[in-house]
Amino acid sequence: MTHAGPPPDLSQPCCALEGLTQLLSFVPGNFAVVLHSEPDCANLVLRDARAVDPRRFFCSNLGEAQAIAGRGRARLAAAVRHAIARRRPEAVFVVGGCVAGLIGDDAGEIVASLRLPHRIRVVAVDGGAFAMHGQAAIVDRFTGILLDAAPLRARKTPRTIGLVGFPPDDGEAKRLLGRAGIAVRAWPRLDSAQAEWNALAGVARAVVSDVRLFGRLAKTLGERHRVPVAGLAPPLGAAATECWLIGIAAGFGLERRIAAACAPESSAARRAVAAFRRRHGGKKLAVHVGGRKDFALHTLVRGGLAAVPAFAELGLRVELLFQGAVEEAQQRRIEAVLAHHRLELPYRCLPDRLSLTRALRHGGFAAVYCSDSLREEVGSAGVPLVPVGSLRPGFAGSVAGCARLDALLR
Amino acid sequence: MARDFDIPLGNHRAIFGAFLAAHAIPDALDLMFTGVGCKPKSQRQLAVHDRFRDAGNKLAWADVGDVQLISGPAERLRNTTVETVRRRGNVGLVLVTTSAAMELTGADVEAVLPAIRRDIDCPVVHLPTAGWDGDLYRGYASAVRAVLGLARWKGPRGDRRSVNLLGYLFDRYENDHRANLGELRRLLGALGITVNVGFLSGAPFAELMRAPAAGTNLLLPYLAGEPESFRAATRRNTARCALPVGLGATTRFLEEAARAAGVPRRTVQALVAAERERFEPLLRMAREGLAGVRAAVLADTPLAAGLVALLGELGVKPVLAGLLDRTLGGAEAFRSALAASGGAADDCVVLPDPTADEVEAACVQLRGGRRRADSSPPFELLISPDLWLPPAVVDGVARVELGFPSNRRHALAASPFMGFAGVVSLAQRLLDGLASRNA
Repeated sequence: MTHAGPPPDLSQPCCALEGLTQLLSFVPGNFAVVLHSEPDCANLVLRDARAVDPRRFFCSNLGEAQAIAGRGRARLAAAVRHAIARRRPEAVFVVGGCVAGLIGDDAGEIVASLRLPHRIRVVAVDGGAFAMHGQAAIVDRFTGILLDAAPLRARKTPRTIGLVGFPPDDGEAKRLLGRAGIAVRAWPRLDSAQAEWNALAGVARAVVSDVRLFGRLAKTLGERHRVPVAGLAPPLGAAATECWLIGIAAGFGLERRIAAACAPESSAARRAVAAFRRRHGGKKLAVHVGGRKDFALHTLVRGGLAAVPAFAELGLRVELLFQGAVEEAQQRRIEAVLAHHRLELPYRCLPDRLSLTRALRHGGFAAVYCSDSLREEVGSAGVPLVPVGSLRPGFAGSVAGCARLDALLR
Repeated sequence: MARDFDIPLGNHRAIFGAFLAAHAIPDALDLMFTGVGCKPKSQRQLAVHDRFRDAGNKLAWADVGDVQLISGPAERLRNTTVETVRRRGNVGLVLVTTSAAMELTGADVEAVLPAIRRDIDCPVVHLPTAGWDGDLYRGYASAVRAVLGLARWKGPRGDRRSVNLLGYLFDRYENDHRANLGELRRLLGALGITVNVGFLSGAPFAELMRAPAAGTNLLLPYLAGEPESFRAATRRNTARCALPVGLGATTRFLEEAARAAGVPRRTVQALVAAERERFEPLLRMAREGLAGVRAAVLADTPLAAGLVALLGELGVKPVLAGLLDRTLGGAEAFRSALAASGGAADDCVVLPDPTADEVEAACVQLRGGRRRADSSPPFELLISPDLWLPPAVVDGVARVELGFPSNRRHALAASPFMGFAGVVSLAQRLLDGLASRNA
């Protein structure tokens, strides 16, 4: 599998070093992170008491004289050796910043030239801000480097599956797949321990929620670990959940078995959906996209539009409200994302969050699906808010979602 | 060399300090001539620290990517600044800050400023703030000096007893700083001294520009440099003052202010005696509750000196002081400020610009060489900002959150830490901390 390039992305641009620092801060595991940058780039590291021991982070602390005199390489080499001596890690992630990029310090080339102990996996990524990566590109890199750091030899276990980019579902999928004879061996979240990511290398097959968002990870799984990877839309809604389970089972030739295993739950969910459609079908729902910069999967998977099919299944008429630039270039990006996900929906661009109130007030919407942080703007419009990420996956999630939306729309 | 690669607890650099200064002037705009990451990284930290005023709108980013780097980022700076100021309106001042990377590109910011100034009708100040320079305090001080330099000092001097409070570190609009400034105004007012402008204090730019109406400048320790340089720049009588944290330092602050403003010493003595008489019964109760307690402080040098002195005044034994800055004088300045306030730290371990590992090592020593958290804690109370700290430092210890960042503790009610009211308020917080630890 080749990497399909940066995922289509409408999120706000961000600095890769900042994003990777944030994401790696919450991953438990015996690794070190070396930032190849000036000291200020590391000022987020100790600022969150929830982080997993931030002493795993080091910085080459580039000064002006070193940057100008070309001593960045030596600083980085010394910093990596120091990190290894101090933490004795199984893996080291090296992230280059803007200055490193400007002075031509190629982090990958520099660490490759170091004679480090073979047992330590060293993964380098150039992470400056001038490339203006979107958040999806950062998540792609993040999950990719976690897989890069996994041990090369992992024993494969037959009829095991690894799931990436799917929200937790209180054990429903494990139970139903188990009935069909398929074991879920790895299901990492973005803040899962490194061991959970390493476990992906040992599964028989893997499924990701977005093949472009997890493009690097999929490529590494396929090429280095010989794990076939498929992309399936997240199990949001009754039909999507059934498709998802059957899609997973199809990899093992067990479609019939999974269909039988999930029949009772599937029927209950479909009944709830039908009842909801009778009551609320045709109502208009606004789906707001691009309001957050939080590296959360529910705002990034499938362009932040993963929940749209679930709303369509409920008979709601969806209109998309994109926050961000209103220029033509942005419109082209939006069209590309919609085409990529085969969605034909009306949309509008809102230049800022304050514009949301007016759009909702005059749009005839029964509710809006958007970030909870926009509660104030939504409240001013008097439209009920369905928080982004609140849709639970699976059949049980579908039933619960129908009940919740029903209460909200009544 | 090894320590070179560890990340110290106080690792903000000048670019963040300049942003704090912009936040402290409600109509100032910090135009970041940087890569995209500097903006959210800065605003996220202040957004959690200050719940009273939105930090996000203080910042604009020059929108520089690879393409702009090649085609000429300075032009991009001009366009973004002009557009942003026009769109927002009510911008009193623009601070242009620059990252290390942007400075390396050699983009000539100074050359583009005249064009920006022609297009907008507010002052524009360039603050070179590469992310390898100085620290938060130096960045804040540079911004304060730059803004001071915009005032017209050539006019007539005001009354000597009208003073500017220069170098007040105003990092949020909550009721800790508001109460501090209120307390200092109250105490100085009792001496017949009026605070003309708090520099910085949440006052808008136009109000700051009224600074020349004062006859005297009181210089707090966050503004490095000799009073003579400020005297020459402002043509006003200028005196260095102690940071008024603790009984001794507050007394010294009032004495120094009175001397600069020409208030007789006996007036100060009378005020201090009256204040201490008023507060002493409360402090006596606090001392009873805090007797024999050990404490550690992590703060910038002036604040750490004030807090360590205060702990001694309350009968608490200070055992560790970590100084979270790189430019405010370090251990020498700490000991000197402490001695001047009548405090002592003979058995107190002082760590300049420490890393988490160094604080942990000091705590292990204080635990008698035992690393395990189930051994007796190295101290009962820790006064520090909201920082990640190792278990060997914080397990079994009551934390009193003070300084930047204070992400968990927000000051809804007045809770000063300066002046005599600040002593009582801090004593209360220490007692509360101890009570929660023992609960």
